[in-house]
Amino acid sequence: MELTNTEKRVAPVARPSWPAPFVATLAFAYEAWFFCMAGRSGAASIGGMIWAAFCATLFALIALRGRPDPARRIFFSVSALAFIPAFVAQLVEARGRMALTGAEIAASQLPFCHIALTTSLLPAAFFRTLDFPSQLIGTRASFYPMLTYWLLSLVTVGRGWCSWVCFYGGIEDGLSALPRRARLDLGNRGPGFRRINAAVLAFVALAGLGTLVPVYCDWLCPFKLVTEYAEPATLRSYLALIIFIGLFLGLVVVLPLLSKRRTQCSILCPFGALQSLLDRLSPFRVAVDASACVSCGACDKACPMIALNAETRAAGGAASSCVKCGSCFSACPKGAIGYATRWTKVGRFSATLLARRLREKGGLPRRLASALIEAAAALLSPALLFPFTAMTFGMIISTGFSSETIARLVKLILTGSFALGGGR
Amino acid sequence: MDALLLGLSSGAICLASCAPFLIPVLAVEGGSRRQRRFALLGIFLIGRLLAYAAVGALAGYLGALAAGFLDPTLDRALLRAGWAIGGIVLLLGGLSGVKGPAFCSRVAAGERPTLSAFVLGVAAGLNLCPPFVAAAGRAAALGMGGGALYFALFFLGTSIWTLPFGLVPRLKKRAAEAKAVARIAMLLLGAYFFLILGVLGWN
Repeated sequence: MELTNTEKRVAPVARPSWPAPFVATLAFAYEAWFFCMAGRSGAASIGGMIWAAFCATLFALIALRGRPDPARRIFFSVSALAFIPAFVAQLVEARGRMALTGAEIAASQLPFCHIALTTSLLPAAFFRTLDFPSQLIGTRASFYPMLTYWLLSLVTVGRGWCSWVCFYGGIEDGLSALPRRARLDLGNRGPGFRRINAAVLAFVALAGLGTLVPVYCDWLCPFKLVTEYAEPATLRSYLALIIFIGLFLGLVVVLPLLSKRRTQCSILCPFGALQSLLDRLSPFRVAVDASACVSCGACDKACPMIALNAETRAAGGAASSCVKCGSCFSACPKGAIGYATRWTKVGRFSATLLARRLREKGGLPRRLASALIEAAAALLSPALLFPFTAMTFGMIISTGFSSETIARLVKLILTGSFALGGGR
Repeated sequence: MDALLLGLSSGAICLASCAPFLIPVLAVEGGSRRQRRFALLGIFLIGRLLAYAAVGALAGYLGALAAGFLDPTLDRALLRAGWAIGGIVLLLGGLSGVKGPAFCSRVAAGERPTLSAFVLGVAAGLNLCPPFVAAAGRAAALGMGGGALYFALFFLGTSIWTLPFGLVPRLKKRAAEAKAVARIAMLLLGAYFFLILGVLGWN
């Protein structure tokens, strides 16, 4: 069925009508239970149960309200905060400290992180070796499993990874939301930030290929401070530690608190730049209904990535750095922004229009068919389907460490010990 | 034949080690015409050939002493020199795009893309990878002229791998954007190669 121009201009973000949000919530609750409880026993199963209930509740809020924030931000920030205690506790239990010795690095046993993909992809493709001291395969956190997660993310959430899945981004996302107003106006620095971000990606990828050294991990990763880092023993490791501390405090803590923007994600993270570059493979995007937009600029100010401005709004969307967080939806007084698919301007499938026309023709079978089509269309509308997909992805990635942190906290309260022992 | 085959078989390593030098320069200075990019690539390769032939001739001249010349300490010194020279050229290329400070304007005025490509070629040629060291070992037994010829053929084998750099399609819609990104990448690569790998020698 061909859409008319007027029909194409339907606001991209109509809230999914009843009963679609309830059906989606039930489906999400079922999969949350499945993923969070699978293979867990003892204290870990309590952690899994609490995490499943937490995720399902937040998804229900997103589905019923028709907009992601603040539920998404709570999920994202909590999952990032939950990652640190579990990861650090595992390190301390395994080797007694967070810092890595040269021998441990040489043994190539480090967990592979998604950001390291940006430096390791080319060496892996050219030489079938990694410049990062990790394994190609063997553990959940080795190269190939991470590559699989990444490829799946490209055809589903795209750069939405950075606001629903990444277990580092949540720290900055939460901090940037804390102040009531921005004390530092970064204005329309979005294009400049995007250039620097793309250049960091090019630098990391080319230097990694040319030297077989994970440059980003060695020198630029601010999250070494909350994960693991080379033991400060030489001038090189001390210098690297100073850079890590500076980048963490500056880009992850201070600037987000001052500007209400996600500065590290906008400027530095090469994985974010890679996701932006390949975001067209994802079927979902954030769309602006230009006919409903009154150009008040509220969404520009609300965007933590500085991905919206008059130019992008006129073009009907956000810049490639958009992380699909949905912060702009709540800010828009006209409800003119929302999730849409790449192939149509409308937020719902044209099936909605087919249903309307069937209903107009009358007759019981046609009305029944119309109701069914409408329900299915509402369930599959980007407004519901994207948060469902993105939160499922985020939950799958975060379940392990989030459940573990909860289980450790429960154990701490009950027994006074943070150590979990078996049954992770 | 031996030299050509050695070059062909180790071309992927050359491709990888030339990429950080070549890609930013081609992105910034390559222009919209393919001929221009191939011309810069050619100049880069001439620089690399010169470095190769010099090392080959030296290895042939030194003969048995070449083993001492190619000891790990001197290898490393040459490698660091290569990174430092390449780093400086990339830094200057990146700085020439920065608007504002007088120093950058002077750099921009003195910018010579062909000279940059040539010096980067020499720097890339000093990258003593394992196949390069193996070729130097063979060249040592061939005398000065034979050594230079051996390295010239080795160079030919490896250079075939670099030809795709000239074929990389240029973004027409976002050419200015790509150029700006490449300039910043040049600065970052230049700083890393010069300071970290060249001066401090931390690899």
